[in-house]
Amino acid sequence: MNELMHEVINKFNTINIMCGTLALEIEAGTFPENNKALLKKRLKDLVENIDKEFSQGKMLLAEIDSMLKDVLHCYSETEHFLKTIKSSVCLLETRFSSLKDDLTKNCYDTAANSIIISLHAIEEKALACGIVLNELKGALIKSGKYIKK
Amino acid sequence: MGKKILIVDDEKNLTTALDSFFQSKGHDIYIANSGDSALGFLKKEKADLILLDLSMPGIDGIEVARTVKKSYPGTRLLILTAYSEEYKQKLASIEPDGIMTKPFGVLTLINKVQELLGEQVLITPQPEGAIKFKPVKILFIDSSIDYAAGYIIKDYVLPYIKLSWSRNIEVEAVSPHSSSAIHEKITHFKPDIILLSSVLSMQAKNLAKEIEQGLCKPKEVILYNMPDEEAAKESPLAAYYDMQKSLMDPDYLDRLNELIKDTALKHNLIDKTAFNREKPRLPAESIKQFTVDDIANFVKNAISEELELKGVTLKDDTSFIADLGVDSLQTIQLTMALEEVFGIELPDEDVAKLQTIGDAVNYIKEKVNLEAFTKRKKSQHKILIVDDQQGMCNFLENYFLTKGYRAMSTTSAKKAVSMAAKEKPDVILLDIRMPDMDGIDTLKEIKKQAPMSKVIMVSVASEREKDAQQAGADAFIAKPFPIAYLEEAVIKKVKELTS
Repeated sequence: MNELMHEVINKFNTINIMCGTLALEIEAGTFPENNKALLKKRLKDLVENIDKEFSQGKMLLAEIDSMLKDVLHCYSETEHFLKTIKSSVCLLETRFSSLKDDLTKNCYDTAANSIIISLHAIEEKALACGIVLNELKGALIKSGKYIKK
Repeated sequence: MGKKILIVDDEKNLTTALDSFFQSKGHDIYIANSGDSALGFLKKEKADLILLDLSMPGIDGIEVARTVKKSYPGTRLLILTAYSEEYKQKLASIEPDGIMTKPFGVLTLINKVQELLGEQVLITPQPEGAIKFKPVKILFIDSSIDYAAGYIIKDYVLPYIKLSWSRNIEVEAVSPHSSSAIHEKITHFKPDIILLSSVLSMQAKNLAKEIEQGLCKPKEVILYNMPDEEAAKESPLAAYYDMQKSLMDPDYLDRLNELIKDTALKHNLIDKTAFNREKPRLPAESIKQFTVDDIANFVKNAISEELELKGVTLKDDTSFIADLGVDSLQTIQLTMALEEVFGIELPDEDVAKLQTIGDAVNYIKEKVNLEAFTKRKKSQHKILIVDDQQGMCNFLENYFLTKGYRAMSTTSAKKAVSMAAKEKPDVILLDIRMPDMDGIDTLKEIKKQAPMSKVIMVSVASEREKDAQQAGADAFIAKPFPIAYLEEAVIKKVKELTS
């Protein structure tokens, strides 16, 4: 449980940091107008990496879900944490799709604001998932059902 | 100067993101994906700061942390971990310089890193040719712009709204009275949100129709100051907000500001990180700092067309206003505007007494303590910011506004010369690299037009300091600079002027 939980927290933390730092770099004007290719590459890499981290994160969440149900038998006590995480994951997924849409359209001038908005929104939702996972960990420790390292 | 930062983490995506970000801030970044390689690096190189994950293959983070604290005492150590609970006791014995539990916010991490590196937050202007992102554009269309109350919009409402957004906003105002001016403004500015004051509902309706017919394509038009609910119902626009109060009312302004924010969020123009959490601190009394001369100027602007038609030559004092009669509608509008500015309760019977502009001004003179206003005015200094980067202009203008200056800005050197001639600012912050005129030539022109103004040249091109001094610059500051340093230079120049 311990390893599993931390792995998911790490996944969401990584997504949060990847999006947050890139949004800040864009806003600080790091990318030159005459080399939009650089920004495009960064965004392309980012999408690929989020895809990987996110799909692994969702699989690990499903494992946690079943562990709480089948092994620890404490699903009813922890259900509200998982519901909150799932709703954040849904919102993250929506924002991620809209980011991918903008990049597919390849419109860096007209959709530029919406790229930054999506990056900050993914950052926020990923951070929220991590925070709730930490709360879940706290609740499990309190109930004595948390298996430490 | 860049610092050496070693990032030790086996999460490749995380290290890549941090590597790129801190490199963009001018630091030298080194990555180690395991404890062994981190210690190997430290044997060869010295790091100013280590960002260290605890759970790693091989030598774990705890071991690395112990070694760092024992063998490299000059190196700051920041632990990044999801296991802070599990390693609580071990970490307490190691005493790192900071522990951040995953997940952490990006800004929290950056602030901590800056704190450990002993850095001040530097202004980093957008580099030349950076990809610029579209700001949200907000346009106020308000009849009071032509009158004395126009100061409320320009000096109070616009700065207040700008200060409550941390980025990506442009706010402008235009009067609805000149059809050509408004068409020009809308066509060039292309607002996302229009705020339409509807005291004169016919004009508002006509304008609304034109917008609907495609004059421009704002995401939303918000009506405010509707004369009555009935007029609002007839309006072809979607929204009616019962805000009959003056814009001077802080509650009213807050509600209007919230409405703008909600509209921007609703249309996905911006995300909520664009808003400052703290309410702007713009003292309400700041707009009441008027002198008798100011009143004269308000009146002059308000009736300029009539003056032209009558061929009246103005004297350089206030006496003209008492001699000049204008039609009663104009008087009432003007009086209402002055009422808003000075906050005078104006009973109906008194309105009837005010048949001329002179009557209105005399009435105001009786009701308000002009001497006090005059004193306050003297305590406030004007500062003009001239920079080709709009973001820099906005930042510095807002900064000095909050510090009590009457700040104004422009991105055009030519406009700066005319503003200096007209406004005679106490201090001018002038960028050397300007698109329409070289900064040194601009400085020479400004010194001709406003010889008393103190000019501080600001530039990344420090090799031009000598040129600037020879051309008459009062100070030179090289970019980037800490904001406190710039403010200190401004205060020094203001003191020189007043001593």
